Amino acid sequence: MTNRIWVFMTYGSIVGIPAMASLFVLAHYLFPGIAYVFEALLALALITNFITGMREIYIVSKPIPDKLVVEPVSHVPAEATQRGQGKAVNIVISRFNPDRGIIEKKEYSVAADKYTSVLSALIKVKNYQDNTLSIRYSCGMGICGSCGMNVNGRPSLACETNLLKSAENGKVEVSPMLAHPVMKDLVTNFDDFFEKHKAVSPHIYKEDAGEKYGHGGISRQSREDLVKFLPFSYCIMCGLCLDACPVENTNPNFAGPQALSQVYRYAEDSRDGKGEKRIEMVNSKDGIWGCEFAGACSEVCPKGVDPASAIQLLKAKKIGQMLDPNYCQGEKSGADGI
Amino acid sequence: MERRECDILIIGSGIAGMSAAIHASHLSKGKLRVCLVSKLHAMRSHSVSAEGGISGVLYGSENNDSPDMHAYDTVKGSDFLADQDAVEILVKNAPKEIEFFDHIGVPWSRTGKGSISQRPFGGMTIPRTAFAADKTGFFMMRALYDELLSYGNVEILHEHYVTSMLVKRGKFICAYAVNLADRSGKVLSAKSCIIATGGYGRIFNFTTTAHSSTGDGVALAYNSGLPLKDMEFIQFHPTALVPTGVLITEAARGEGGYLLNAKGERFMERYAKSKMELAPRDIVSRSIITEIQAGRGILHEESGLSHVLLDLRHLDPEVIDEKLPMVKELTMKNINVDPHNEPIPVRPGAHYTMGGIHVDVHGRVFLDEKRSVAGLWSAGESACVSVHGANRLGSNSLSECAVWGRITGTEAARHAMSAGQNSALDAKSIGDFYGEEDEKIYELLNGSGSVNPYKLRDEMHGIMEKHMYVYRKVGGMKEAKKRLAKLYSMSKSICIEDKSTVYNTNFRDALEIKSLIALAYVATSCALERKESRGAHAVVEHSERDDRKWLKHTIAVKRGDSVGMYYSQVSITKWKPEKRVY
Amino acid sequence: MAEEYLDIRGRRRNLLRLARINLTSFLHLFFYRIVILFSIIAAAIIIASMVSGGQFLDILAYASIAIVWLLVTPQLFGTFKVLPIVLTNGEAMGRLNSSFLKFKESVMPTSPAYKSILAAFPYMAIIVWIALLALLLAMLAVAL
Repeated sequence: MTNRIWVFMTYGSIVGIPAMASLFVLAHYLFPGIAYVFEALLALALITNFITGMREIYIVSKPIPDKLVVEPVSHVPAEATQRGQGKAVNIVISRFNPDRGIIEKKEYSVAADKYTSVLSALIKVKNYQDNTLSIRYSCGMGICGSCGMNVNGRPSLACETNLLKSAENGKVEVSPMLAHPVMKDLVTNFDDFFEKHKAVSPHIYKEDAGEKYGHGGISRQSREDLVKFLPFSYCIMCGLCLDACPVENTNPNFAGPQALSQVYRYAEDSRDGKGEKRIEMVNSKDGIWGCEFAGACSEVCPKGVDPASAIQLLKAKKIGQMLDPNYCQGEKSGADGI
Repeated sequence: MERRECDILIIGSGIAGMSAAIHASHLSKGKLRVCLVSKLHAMRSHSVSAEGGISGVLYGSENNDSPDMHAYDTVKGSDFLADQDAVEILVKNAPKEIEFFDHIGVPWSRTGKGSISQRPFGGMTIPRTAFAADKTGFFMMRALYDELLSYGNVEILHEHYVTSMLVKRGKFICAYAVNLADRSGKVLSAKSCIIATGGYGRIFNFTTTAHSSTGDGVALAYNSGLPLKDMEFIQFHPTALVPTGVLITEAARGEGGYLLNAKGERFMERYAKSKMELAPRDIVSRSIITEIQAGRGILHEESGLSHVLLDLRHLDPEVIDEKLPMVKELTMKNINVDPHNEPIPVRPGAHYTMGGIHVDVHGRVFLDEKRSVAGLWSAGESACVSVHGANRLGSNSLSECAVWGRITGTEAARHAMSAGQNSALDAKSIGDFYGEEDEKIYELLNGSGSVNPYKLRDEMHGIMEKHMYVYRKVGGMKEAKKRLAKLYSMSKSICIEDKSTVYNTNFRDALEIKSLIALAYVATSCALERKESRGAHAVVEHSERDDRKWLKHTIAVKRGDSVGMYYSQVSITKWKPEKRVY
Repeated sequence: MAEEYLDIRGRRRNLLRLARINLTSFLHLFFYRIVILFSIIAAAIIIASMVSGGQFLDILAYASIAIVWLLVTPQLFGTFKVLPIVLTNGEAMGRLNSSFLKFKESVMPTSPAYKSILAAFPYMAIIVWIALLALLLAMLAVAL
């Protein structure tokens, strides 16, 4: 129940302010006598907005500690062992030093041609200039999701980002994602991210588990059913959307665009037995209702999953369920799902 | 000493490893403690890079297809080196696995009627490769990982590198794993263990495989004195993108793409008249190299590599967007070429290693010529059941991973449920083992070594690219073996510059490079011995297949610093060796 | 171990970061955060003007409503954007994979006119909204 009040307050104020404000203006012209009613409601909506907004953004968050000191750039020149010819590009890497607890910026130069990706440049740096650099990478073709980082302040997959194209004045800045705890240099810890994914039970549910492992036969799924969830299954779990998400960055309890998009992916799959009941798991202020729809997650998603749209679709479905008198709520199972 | 006791230890989290974990958990109704160890995050294993599809006869009656035809294609593709009893297991179980993946949520591409689409693939006479666009491996991995999360009994150890294992008295006892996050070591003891760590494609520089495909499990078995099989057979994928080596799936040709040389000819006409571009990969790769050597290749300026062209321009744009979206994405992002408008530069790149740990049809690892190790299995690319023989057909690898993932998972679970507790004798050897391994790691980090691992690796890459590529020469292989032996001894005194305890990738790279050099040495040694051309192993001096002398598997065992070799029979059930023409 | 990691989750409030990713997201959040603070001031002014009814307070109330009006515009745009997204499963106004969209078009063709009307809807709504603001400003001018 508390959930509902919260959702009502947030969304009430978001819709309420514009609605009351416009009715206020129109009422002044049409029925001047009752304009004060809308004036009062507008004031109420503004107060609600203040309360819900402050709670989300300003009160919960604490300041960043002083220990995060960024040291001045030290330049490491390219060695003779460096392979390949081409343009020299300076890469400024913000490296987190776990022993000292600070981020140190170091500058390296690498030779790059028009095919060099940021990842291959970083690997070059690691192999031929500074073996102590830590990077996480594997496939090099944008499908494993290991090499998420900030390139010039924009969350990107290093292997899919062209070095020369991202260079500004011959310089590229690379830094770790900060929406995940940073372990060393550019490597971040994904434990909580994986937990969030796990918390939404991201697997096909069948009433009878034997059906899954037995021989129920190949399911018939029409192409129309396939396109309903297909793009949302492109998620490679790179964690970039969390880094871009402004809600996640002020409220770490938020389920995050990745997990929420996976709820929609499984809810829409015609083979799933739970279907839209899955929404109950994320029907909370740290679930779908936490999303402010800034759309940054979809902007950075390297695979076109569009988590922002997935979350809005979930919200719309939930509202549809709330309006449907025949829908069985099942609040107990999911109210505090996340 | 940190010790983790479990019932089943699974090393490697690709499709084979995760399938094994799921089926073992399902069989035991979630009772067995399963421990899945991965040196990456579990869902990022190299299986995600599989693009084209998974083979299996799904709608045999509609397509006039049968498992026997699939088996024949596979055996012929393997140049008759495949064990035919294993192939029969593969073709029988593959459809079941596709069905299982359907149930756990792989978004298969569908036909208008709602059944799973199947596409033609190299060496297959009938379209029988089920696919989910051209990200099949990725979708299968995600489905498996997500399904695995529903089991409470499975503990996933992300980013743990297994450095060695203890096999004593013909029995698997435990393995030693280093946690990359803090470099702490732990002993993982288990009743059953499955090695599913994938292949060693990274012994080459120009390769379609992930940076993490370093054959750690194969080297693990080798260093424990277990035999390896058919290590000389390394598949070169005909269409690796120049200059990055990224894989352009065979499905591009399956959907109708052409291979063109510098003159714009469809040169495959000269080499495989009936199958054209859809001949098996070894034949297409050799054809491309022959074209390039004859001066009909195109030189890529930046990288200095010669290549041919993969032309998709004549395909319906809808086909590319529906069935090959990843090809488009890769070419756009890597080389800024739109396959709708421009041909794609490709050349053969190392792709798959047919060889691996010597196992029987149940995936049990052999201890010597006759006996197998109790409680140790291997599945996927790291194993060599020998369904692929001398050359794998495209899309058979995913089937193999799924089929033997299930077989080994089931067998390991049965073994773990019936096996008793570890004896006191084992407990003592585990203690000793931990001490030794800890010492070794300390030695590696603080020892007096002076060799930079990356320089060593580059030198190995140079040797392999020069002498062990598509065409091999006896003299070249001899030289390669000599130089690799030197690198192998140098790899014992590696110097690790990074002394950090947190996520030390320099340390992990050093371990990987050690594995790679050992495996490159083994592969070269085996290749030098095989005096014939069969499948992916093409020797210029011995250009013919020699069934009388060489219809046998090479088995390699570690003998001190050199490689001991013996041979084992190929199992032939229905299909006698015949001339291989396409 | 976790204490050794750099963990500033929940404390990264710097919105300028968003400006480098997407200007719309930045404006959306930036204006929203201001409107949160400003809303309590505006509410106080409106209530005060209702209670006392002085002309100065009335003008102040109109002005603060006009400012709130402007500040909620990006929010409102976002809200309107949801309609086309929901009606087309993310196709109009979404950022879905471009190859997928072409594939979807071949499976379930939707009329381009329908899509462009939906895509135009948020912009139309915002134009109406701004027109109303003009009306409010006119009222303010009359009051002055």
